[in-house]
Amino acid sequence: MVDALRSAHRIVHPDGCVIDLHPTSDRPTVEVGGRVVGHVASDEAPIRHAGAAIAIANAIDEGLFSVGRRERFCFHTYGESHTELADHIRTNWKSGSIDAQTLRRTHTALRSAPGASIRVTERVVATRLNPVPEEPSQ
Amino acid sequence: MAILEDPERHEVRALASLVPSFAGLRVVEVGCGDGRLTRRYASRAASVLAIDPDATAIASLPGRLKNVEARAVPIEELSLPPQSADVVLFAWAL
Repeated sequence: MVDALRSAHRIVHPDGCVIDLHPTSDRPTVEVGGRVVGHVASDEAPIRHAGAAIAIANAIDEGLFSVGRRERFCFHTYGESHTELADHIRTNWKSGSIDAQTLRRTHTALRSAPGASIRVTERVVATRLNPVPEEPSQ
Repeated sequence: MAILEDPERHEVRALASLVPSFAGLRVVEVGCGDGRLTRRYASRAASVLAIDPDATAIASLPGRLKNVEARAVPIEELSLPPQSADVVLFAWAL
């Protein structure tokens, strides 16, 4: 990951910037009507996302970039049904699944709140990195 | 209803707070996938080089966005002149 940031540092103009968007290590939540009923399970994703944060920290430590600005936001993915959402995650995400217990809780929550929205929420951090010019070699 | 991703446009707003305007900028987007994020800003940029190691994912990109060139390559193997991009955007790719 740091190699990717080194490559970015090479191709970006000194007045330009590198933008990174990646989810935090927090487990994505499954929500019915805005109320959390469970989480998306993944053994691999939190490690991968933590690795992205470490790569950025390392690139800053190497003197490649400084942090220009950082934002956090929630990325919501809505489905018409809990099964549709579970299928979407299984098919499109690099890893992750909604386990049977969470699906049952979702189903129960929907019975008591028909028509409520069903969504998965990911917490995402967005960072603007400003390139630090390389020192001219002697 | 199909799957709806970020209908509130939180991601685009966060991006706009980091890059207030894409007008005239040369963008390299890393990990563009099927272009979900690319489609939200590309029309304002001067050019977008959208890359992803997954050739299947990016297959639909160039035909839909006229100022976007797509290449199936990881950034470490991307051959570009130094300092030739105004923005390098890692789209959930690190």
